[in-house]
Amino acid sequence: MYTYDIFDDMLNLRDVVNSFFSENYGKWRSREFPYLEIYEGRDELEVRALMPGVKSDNLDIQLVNDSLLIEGEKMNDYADNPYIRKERQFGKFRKSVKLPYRVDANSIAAELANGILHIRLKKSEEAKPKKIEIK
Amino acid sequence: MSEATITNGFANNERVIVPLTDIYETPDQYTLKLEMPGVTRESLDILIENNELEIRGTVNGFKPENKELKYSEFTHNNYYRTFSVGNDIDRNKISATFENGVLTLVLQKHEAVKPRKIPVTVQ
Repeated sequence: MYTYDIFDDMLNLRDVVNSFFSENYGKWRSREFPYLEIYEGRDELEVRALMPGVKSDNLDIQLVNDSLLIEGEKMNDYADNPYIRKERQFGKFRKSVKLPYRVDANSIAAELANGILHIRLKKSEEAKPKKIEIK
Repeated sequence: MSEATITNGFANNERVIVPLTDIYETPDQYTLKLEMPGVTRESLDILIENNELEIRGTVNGFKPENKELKYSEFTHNNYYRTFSVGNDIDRNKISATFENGVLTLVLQKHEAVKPRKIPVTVQ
């Protein structure tokens, strides 16, 4: 049996307030569609972007100097039916990300699955640390 | 595009993402489109019970191996949203498709509530 306890609600409220500080909403202030994530490995970078409803034909990915440019259009996917609720947005988008190091332009792999774009970028040979022999 | 609201949808106070949804109506059916990137067909749960349509989507296996997260603009929470449905829906004729991170639910209306053309005969 469950007895209502006002302290439960108070503790819940405290969790909500705490999560506001722990989840860093501030850093999301400047974000634009598509939302990104960058993972860094030893010699590889992985960029992930949320792109629900975007088809691969309407997507263009370019490497410009040390920035990755993601451009595309999210097409409207309904006929002109009267709507009851409309929360999704459509249209053209363009976003560029500055990469932490130079990447090899020839070994970029991109894949779109379940509404998420995965881009794998390999560190270029020039950016890797080089050991210099002393003669 | 605005961020989907995050609420406590599950009983155990798990924080969830409320997927952005469009609902359209035609004379024969309702169409719901929910944006759920990161969900797979297998991790989706759609339930209709007591005039409530419940949609859950679990996001898992997201973090790549041997890589560290450096920058992020979204969370990996699961999706959850409920809708109340009326009696005008035929519960045996609900179809769901999942494509490009968008879940499409088509709810057919009952024959009785569909618009009918009444022929007028002149005598």
